[in-house]
Amino acid sequence: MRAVWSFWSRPHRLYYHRLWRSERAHLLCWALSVAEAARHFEEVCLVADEAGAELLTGRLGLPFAQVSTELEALNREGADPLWWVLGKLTAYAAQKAPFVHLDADVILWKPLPARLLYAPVLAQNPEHFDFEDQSLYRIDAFMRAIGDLGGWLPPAWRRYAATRGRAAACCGILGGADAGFISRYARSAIDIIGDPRNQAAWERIGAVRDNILVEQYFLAACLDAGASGRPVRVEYLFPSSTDAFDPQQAERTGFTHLIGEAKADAGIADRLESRVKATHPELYERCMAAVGTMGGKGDGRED
Amino acid sequence: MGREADWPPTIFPSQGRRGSVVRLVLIADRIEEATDFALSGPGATVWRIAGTGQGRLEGMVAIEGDAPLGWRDIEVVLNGRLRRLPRAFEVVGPAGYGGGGLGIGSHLI
Repeated sequence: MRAVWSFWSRPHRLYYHRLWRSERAHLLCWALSVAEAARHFEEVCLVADEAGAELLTGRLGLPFAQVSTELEALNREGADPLWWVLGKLTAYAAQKAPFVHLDADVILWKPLPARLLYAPVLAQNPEHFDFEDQSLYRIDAFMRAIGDLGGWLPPAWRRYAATRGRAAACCGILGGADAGFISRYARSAIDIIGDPRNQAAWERIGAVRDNILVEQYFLAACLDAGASGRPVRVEYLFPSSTDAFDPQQAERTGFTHLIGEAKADAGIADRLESRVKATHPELYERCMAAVGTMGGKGDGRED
Repeated sequence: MGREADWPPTIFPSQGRRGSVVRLVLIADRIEEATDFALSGPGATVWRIAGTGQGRLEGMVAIEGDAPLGWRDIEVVLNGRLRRLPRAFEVVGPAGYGGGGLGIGSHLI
């Protein structure tokens, strides 16, 4: 199985770099994510735009066997960078063989269990949201905007929403043996974001785009709908969000995901630095050299 | 490209719980020049924190225990113009998944 990362650098450069403690911490996490996972997979691959590929391969020298700059098309087409998930979806859609996509804030300290490697679809964990507390999955507001403004959604989404489905699949890791199913899901998700009939709804939804609804909720809808009339089996690394957030279970599984506020934490940024320096000294030096060329933007310690 | 990054700002966090006080941070070039900073709707009041540095606008949000649940617009007056960030901050109820705290397995680093 191949491990795949994606990096659409434009959304990161414009907006999402702010979620990290510093660019230094961001680059060190990339180094650790790729270097640790490379121990467990036959091949590690990158799908990026040109600037992202140049940073990760040219300057950091991360050991990717294959590099695609397919995400440059998003820049050429003027894709909305608030939809950061387009980078991931484009990478999923491009896969033609069994794969696992890792977010750059995911570190696999141990190999994935065999039950995941041979599953049609694998993901981090299922999660279930509460309709009374739609702080993460804002499905009602999303459906209202689509309905009020003449938007379009594929049948799998409409059916799942009509049954009040409230499951989603956390995609810190996502992949599987059925690359065809995942590619079809990803292309359909890309269509949702780009459909001209939905653009007024995105304006109503506002600056906080519902990236995880399109990626994680829609994946659950597609899994529920199945393929060719048959359900698609999915294996999860953790059986629930609660299990994933349990430090002991994370340790047993050998899994780190710097989800949410963890990216901005000063202590974690310091540990990233110490860890990469100790275990991957050459990568550490290249990260520091790259940060050095970024001037004040690279080092967030003035914060 | 620099101007393109000015808006919308990064907002952190995007939610706060009833009965809590939350430090709300907006990050964007020159946003510290804002002269007013508020949330729409009842039950959540912002006190701006002065002198928080270039590119940062910070406030303490006091959320009343019976504040209506749901999304609020963030309103910022910048260069004499009211700029609205629709549905940018949410008042939520019971604790749930939240913002991820210190993430999953971050102690392993």
